Order: sequence, then structure tokens, then C-alpha cells
Amino acid sequence: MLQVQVEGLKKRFGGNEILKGVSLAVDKGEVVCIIGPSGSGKTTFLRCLNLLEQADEGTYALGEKIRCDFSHIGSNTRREVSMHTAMVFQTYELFQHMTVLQNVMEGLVVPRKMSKTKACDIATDMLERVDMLERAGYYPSQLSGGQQQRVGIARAMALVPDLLLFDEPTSALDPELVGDVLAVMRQVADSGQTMIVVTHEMQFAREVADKVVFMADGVVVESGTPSEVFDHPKQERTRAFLSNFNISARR
Amino acid sequence: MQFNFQAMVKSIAYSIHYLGITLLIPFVALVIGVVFGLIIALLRYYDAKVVAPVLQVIITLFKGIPIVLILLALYLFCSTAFDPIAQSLHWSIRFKNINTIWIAIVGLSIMAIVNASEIFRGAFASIRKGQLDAAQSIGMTRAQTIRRVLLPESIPVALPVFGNLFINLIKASALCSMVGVVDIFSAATISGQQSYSFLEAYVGVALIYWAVVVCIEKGTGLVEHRLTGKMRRAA
Repeated sequence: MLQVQVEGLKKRFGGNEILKGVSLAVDKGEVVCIIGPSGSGKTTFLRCLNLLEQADEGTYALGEKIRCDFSHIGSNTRREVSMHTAMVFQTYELFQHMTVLQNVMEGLVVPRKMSKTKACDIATDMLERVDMLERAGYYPSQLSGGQQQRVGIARAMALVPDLLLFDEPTSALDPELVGDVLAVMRQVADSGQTMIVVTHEMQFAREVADKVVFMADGVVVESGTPSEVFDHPKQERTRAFLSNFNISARR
Repeated sequence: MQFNFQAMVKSIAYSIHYLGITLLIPFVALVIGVVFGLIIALLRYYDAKVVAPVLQVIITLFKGIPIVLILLALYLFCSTAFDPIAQSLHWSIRFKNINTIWIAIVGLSIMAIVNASEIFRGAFASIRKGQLDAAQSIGMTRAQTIRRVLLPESIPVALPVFGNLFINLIKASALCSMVGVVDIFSAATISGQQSYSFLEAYVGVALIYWAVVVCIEKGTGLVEHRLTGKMRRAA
């Protein structure tokens, strides 16, 4: 069943066209990894999907109810989309003035008006799943990057989003912390969560993704199963890009 | 020339009775400044159509005018224009019945609003945009984002600067004697005139100001410590 469908998404910043008509379809429970060189518009594309950026053109379908045209999005649609998506940020972006537990509860209690007891139960459960429960009372600045990012994932998961977006979730981490976060993401993927992951972790993309999308210069150059893209890339651009990651792609 | 210590003590004892006024005017101005300054800063932060650029012009305008001029202009305006306006509106109140403390409060409030809006603006600018993205990504409306993220994260940044603003307002309130308000400064002048001991009176009143300012600094320091201690901001 189709969970996300984007057609012809275009985005300009000033006179600079960043996304030149990107289309993508994601089935329910599918894990899509977007790879590509820096500046190819991957992150912008992701931010258009939860409307942190307003795309200029294109159509968008999310879940069963949301259908819209990017060129005119009303405030109701905007809110609907933000209530049905969640995002994990490259720089974690946990709320600095709240504890770990409060961070995870916030999205349930404030925008979704859930009772504090119920939200606390859900948050506790989520923190357990990312193995951060014993740090529930800590403030973000007291945690390592990897720990913060795991809380970031718990915060997003707690909202049970139709679509979970990961914006280079391990790029800001020290190398030895990347493994923990990827392990949690793998677990999220296994739970049947529909997700789109922008990443430079080729090994992760190869092993976890149902579909890999290679983007460059604001267009989708090639997409397919991990083995299609990594082992038998059809486009010269894709081959050139993947040659930088030789070891991980061949393993 | 010799310094008459006793005259200074006497002058302090006399002028300290007016400490209430010296604290009241800046405090009311500060409260008004925080409220309106916050509204102005938010309108500018979210780039409200038409309003934001107009506010920017007004703020820039008032930022460049010394508080003495604002107070004197207000006084002159009220003393000449108030009675005709009141007459035409059939109010029974006249300028001579108005306590000039209101002019002082309005004048210092203008100073407070201008400064407070800039303080909030600076504090907002120190919040990473990603924090607001995160708020939006979990479904918060703009009002919820302001209430739950922007303000709680800005206040620890703004608080010490507001302590400074309060101190500046207290010192500026000495100028209110120019529009006929009796505060500790004009009380000190009066007591100096009575005994021809101006130096002693001024040193005495300076000591009062100094004590008040030190108390405020310590006070905001304590509150700040509690707020930031909770957040333990990593630098």
C-alpha cells in the first residue's frame, strides 16, 4: 500500500533551482535511503516532505488522508502534515531546557493534547527501546552526541508518524558513536516504520533499505533495490559516486 | 575644603525616604518595557508584514534620542497640549492636577521598551533555528513554539541583560527630577541646599544608588544561576 507519493517536486531558493522535479513513491513499512553528493538537494527534499521548507511545485500524498499541491498549502494542511510526520535531525535538536523524558513527552502533551500520565508511559517505553531510560532525568547537554541522537529518535518514534524522516542522523557523530545510532535505526526499520533516510552510511543503506535513491544536482539519477544500485548501477554518475565508497559497496 | 561626614549622613537619612519613588518608576517602566518589548521583538522575529519594518524605524529613531530629551519633550508637550485636548474632550482634569510622576513613567517606559525589544531580539537570535524546526516537526503551532521553546530558551540569555537594563533605568530615573518628580536625587539636592553641603549630599545619594545597584546585581545573579544551573548549557 502506498504511504507516500511525491510527484514533480520543485524547489527554488531565490533564482537557484535546488530540486528540479523529484518524484518518489514509498510503500507502507518501506525503508528508503537517499544517497548522493553534498549539495544535491537531499536534505532540502526531506525538509519539503514535512513542510519545514515550502516547495514551489509538485503534488504530495501522505497516508490515507493527506493530498495536496505544494504550490498552495493552507495552514490546516501544514499542520496535518507536521502532525503525521516526524524528523530526526543531523544536529539532534533536542530541546535544551527539557530533560530527556520531557523531550520525548513534549510532542504528545503539547500538540497532541495527550494526558501527562499516558505520555509518560509512552515516552518511558520509547526510551527503553533506544536504551536511554536510565538517562531519563538528564538534560541534553549532559549527554554524548550518540545518546542525544537516540533520544531524538525516541522523540520522533513516540509520535507514531506515518512517515519518519532521518536527515543525516549520524553525520555529526564521533565515529565510535555511529554504531549505536545505526543499531537503533535498524531496530526502528524492523518494526515496520515507514521511513526515508538521507545518509552517507552506505553499508547501512545497503543492508537496511528496501529502496535506494541516488540524487545529484536536484534530480533522482537512479533508484532501485540496494543490489541494483550498489552492485549494478546503470548510470555513470552513480558509478562515479559509489567508487568513493568501494569497500562498503562491495562487501 | 573639608568633607562634613555628619551632613552626609543627615542627607542620606533625608533622601532615603524617597527611595520608593526611585524604585517604583524604573520598576513600572521595566514591566511595561518587558511586555511591549516582547511583543515588538516577536513581531520583528517572525517578520510581520508592514508592522515589522515600521517598528524597526520607530525603534531606531528612539534609540538615538537621549532620555533627557524624551522627558523634557514629554513635559513640554503635556504642559502645552494637554489642557486644550482635555477641554475639547470635556474632561474635568487639567495639567496642573496631574502628578508629573506619570510623565516620568511614560518617558522611562519608552526607554525600557526600546531596550527590552532589542534584548529579546538578541536573545532570540541566540536560539538555533534547528530548535524551532524541531518544534514544528513534532507538530507544534507557532504559539506553542513561542511558549514552549523560544521563550524558555531565550529567558536565561536575556535575564542578566534585563538586570543591567533595570540598573540603567534606576540611574536614568535621577533625570526625573527635571520634570518635578521628587526622588532620592532631588531630595539630596534639596537637603544639600538647606545646609550648603552639596558635595556631602551627592556623595550620600551616590552611596544609596550604589547599594541599590549592588542588590539588583546580586539578585539577578542568583536567579540566573538557578536558571542556567538547570539547563547546564554546554558552551
